[in-house]
Amino acid sequence: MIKTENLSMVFTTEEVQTRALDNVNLEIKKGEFTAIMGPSGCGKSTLLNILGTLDTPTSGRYLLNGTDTTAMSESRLTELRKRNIGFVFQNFNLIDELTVYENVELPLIYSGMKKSERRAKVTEALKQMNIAHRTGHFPQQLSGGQQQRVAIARATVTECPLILADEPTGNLDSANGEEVMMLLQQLNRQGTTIVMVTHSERDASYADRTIYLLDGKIIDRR
Amino acid sequence: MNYLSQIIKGLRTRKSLTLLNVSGLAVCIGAALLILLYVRFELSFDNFHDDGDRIYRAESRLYEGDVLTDNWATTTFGHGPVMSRTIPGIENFVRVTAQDREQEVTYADRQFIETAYCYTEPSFFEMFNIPIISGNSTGQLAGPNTAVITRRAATRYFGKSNPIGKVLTFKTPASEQHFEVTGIIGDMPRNSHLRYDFLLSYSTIPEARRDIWFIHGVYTYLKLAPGWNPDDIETAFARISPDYRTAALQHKDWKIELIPLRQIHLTPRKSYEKETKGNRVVVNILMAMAAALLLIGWVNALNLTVARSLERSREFGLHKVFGASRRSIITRGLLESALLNLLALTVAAGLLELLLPPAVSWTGTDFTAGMFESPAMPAAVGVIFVAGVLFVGLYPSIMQTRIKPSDFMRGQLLNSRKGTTLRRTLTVAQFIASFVFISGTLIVIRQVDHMQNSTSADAFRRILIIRHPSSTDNMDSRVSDFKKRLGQQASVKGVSVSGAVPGIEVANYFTNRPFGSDISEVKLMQMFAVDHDYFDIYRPEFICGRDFSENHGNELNKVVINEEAARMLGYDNTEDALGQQIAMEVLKEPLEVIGVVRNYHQQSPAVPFKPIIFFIKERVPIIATPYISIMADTEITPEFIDGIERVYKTYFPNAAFSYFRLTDYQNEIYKSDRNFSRIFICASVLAVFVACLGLWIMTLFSTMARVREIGIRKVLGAGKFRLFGLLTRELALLIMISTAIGAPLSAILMGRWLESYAFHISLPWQAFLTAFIAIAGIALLTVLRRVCKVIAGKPMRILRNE
Repeated sequence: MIKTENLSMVFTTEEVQTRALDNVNLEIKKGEFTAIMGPSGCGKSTLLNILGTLDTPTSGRYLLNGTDTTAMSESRLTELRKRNIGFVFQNFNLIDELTVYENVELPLIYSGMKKSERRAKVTEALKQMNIAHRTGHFPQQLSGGQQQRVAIARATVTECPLILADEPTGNLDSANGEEVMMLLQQLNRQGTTIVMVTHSERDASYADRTIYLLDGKIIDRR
Repeated sequence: MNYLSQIIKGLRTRKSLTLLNVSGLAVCIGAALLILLYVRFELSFDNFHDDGDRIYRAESRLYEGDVLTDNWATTTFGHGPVMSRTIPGIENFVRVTAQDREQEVTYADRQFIETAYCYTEPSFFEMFNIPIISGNSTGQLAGPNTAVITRRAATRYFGKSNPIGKVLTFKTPASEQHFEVTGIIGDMPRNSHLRYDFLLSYSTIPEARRDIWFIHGVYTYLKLAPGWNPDDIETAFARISPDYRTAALQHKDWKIELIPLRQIHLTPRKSYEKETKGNRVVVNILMAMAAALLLIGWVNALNLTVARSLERSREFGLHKVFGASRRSIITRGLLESALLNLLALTVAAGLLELLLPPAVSWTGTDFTAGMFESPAMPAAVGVIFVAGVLFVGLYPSIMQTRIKPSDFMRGQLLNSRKGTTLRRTLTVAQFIASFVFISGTLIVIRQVDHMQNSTSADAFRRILIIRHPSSTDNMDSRVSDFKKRLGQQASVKGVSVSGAVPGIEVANYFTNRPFGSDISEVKLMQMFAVDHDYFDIYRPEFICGRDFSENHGNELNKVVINEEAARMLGYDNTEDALGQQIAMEVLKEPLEVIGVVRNYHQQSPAVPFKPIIFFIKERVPIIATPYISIMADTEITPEFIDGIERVYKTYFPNAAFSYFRLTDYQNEIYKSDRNFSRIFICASVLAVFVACLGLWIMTLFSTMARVREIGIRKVLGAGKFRLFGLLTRELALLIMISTAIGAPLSAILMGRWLESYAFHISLPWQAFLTAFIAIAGIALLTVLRRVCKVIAGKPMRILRNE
């Protein structure tokens, strides 16, 4: 499903050039649950952003379902993302001004779905994440664990085949963290491909395999 | 001092923002002060007389039933002495004659045409605060043929020599008088409605005419005794007036109205009023404009200060953590605001210094005269400063005292919605003001155009007016020969001698009625003395009948009337007036109507149509014909004028040659209207500019606050157009609200202004639509770059930079 060829990413500021990714070659098959680990600043999040088409690499190619995304326009990338990828962030990235329901509904609006269909989907997703009783609340009225469940509901509501999770338990206590990992595992069992960046060995243990990054290079695959 | 250095440091860290803030505020304050200076001048008219609050001008009002038929600024010569004798409460009075004839004034070889003269009584100096600077301080103007003149006039005629005892000769086409200069006064202030260079003794007027009741030829000023009310005098006059009514006024109610001296300048123009008038509605609109400009400036400064304090929340949070009290936070906020306002005021003063000279020459009025003597301006500056300090400083500092230090420290305030309602409200206020300014500008421009177009014809460009020469031997035949001689020149298309020209009030009200009808049918109408050529030159549109023609033999008993005169004489159908006979008060024989012209604007569309009767000037020689109109074949060149002067001098070697172009005179009529439109244009440009500055700042901060949200939405697949809509939706809503409030507001304000003109355009909807499009367009352009930049960003970079 995911294939990268000699992927490199260089950030240039006025004074320094930082090589965040250095010739990364990676392949992830459909239905796999992959964890990416490594110390801070090793390029994990950069890799995840490129896999999510949120950023474009400086050189190399990234193929999603066999399609080369490297030269695509912003609008085509947006289309690709809408159909294929759901995101879960460490800091949840919910919109404070929208209710739980509206936050989850957002990607469906952008995909052009009718209102009645949206209602059914959102209700279903919230139920699945066990957060349906909080529909009308605003993010800041929820606990961290609840917010992350809303974020996962938002990522899964479009039934996209790929979920990218960036430290999904980073802001959660261990009980809530475990609950979130179970949810991800459950999604994986239902057929969703999951790529997760994490610091935690325990979280990584939920994955089928783990990739280790250091200084922008893959140093180990298990 | 510690505060101050902190504040200065704070202002210096974001220099460009501080610069923006100070300059925006300075421009608004400068413009507001400029407008206020003009307003102060308009409101300061006649405020320099001692006991001015007890001085009134008595003005005649004639009614038929409840209908006000005649509204004059003058009274008869008889009013003053009789009222002062019979009505209690009048402490003093003075009469000032209201003639409009130019006089040719001569001393030795110096000769000028003068209009700024009047005949008046010794009490002039008791009523008005116009001190005599040379000559006896009492008894001036008591004897006949004496004059008191201004210093300016004295210099004009006598140079450096002593004017006292010298004799000036005053000549009109019909008379010659000599006046001994007995006193000198300073030039009359610019903010005086009385602006004379020559005060001639009233006792020079022949005794038989001094106190007559059948000519409304003088302005009568009354000084009431303390404790008396103008109503008392008005009521008392209504009681005695039947005893003094002339035959012509028997069927009318004759009243007077006492206009307070200080309000004369701003009351609407009436018949027989010569001076430049102000307009109360304009003054009110200008004051509102100044207030709006100040508000726009303050709103910007406030928005910026709020945004800045949110941006610096961590710093403020630290102050609170280390124990800054509520009082010290507010003091600091106010001090910062005071510094900002002081800087802006200083820059505004500089701007004013730069702008005043062009503004004065632009308006043609030195409205800065006396600005340093009056306490009004320093007071206004003080009020503006204090109000500005509170407006800009109070809210942000109170807001800071209410926020918990922990909120500050998290630095989340910029993202929060705190104060956005206020900021939105203020932005709406700015846009309302801009809307009113833009639509107002368009309306004023259209009205001024409308007035100019409806009183001026293209042919008027080719008309030169010269003044009728003063009295000489064989005057009539000389003028006639002069006309003929000019008519023979190829460059001259036509010549006419008349009592008025378009733009100049005809006045000369005489009573007329259908011949044979009851005396109660008389109507006051303006008598317009013309010659056979007048209609050839000015070509008013004839509805029916014909103009005067030498081919029809003797036309002395024939008249042409306008629609309004036909209506007043009782001919609803203008055709019915043809062939009818009219009885005019000073003539025994009837006058026959041979033509009716369509109503046209003799003066300006500011005044209603008046009844006019055109007659051949020789028929009533007492009515003056001061103007000779000369129509050039192509255009008026200096050579053309030189040619006319040469011919003039051969016929009238001793007369002064004085001329004006008709279009110049007409432009002068609309001077104050044009000034108003210019002020409007400048204020609009300024308001829109500063409001956009504010909008730009608001967008800067609001997009900054929404960067994270935009990032999330992009990650979730929002398209560019959708994001653009999201970011500009609020702006669109604000503009809609501004239009919804601004349009009716502008309609009310400008409607009131338009109503001060007898003839005006109806409120043009296009002006409102244009204002809406302009504001929406300019606002969009202002925010476009910022919004596009946010939208074009890579989603993850947006989130990372957040």
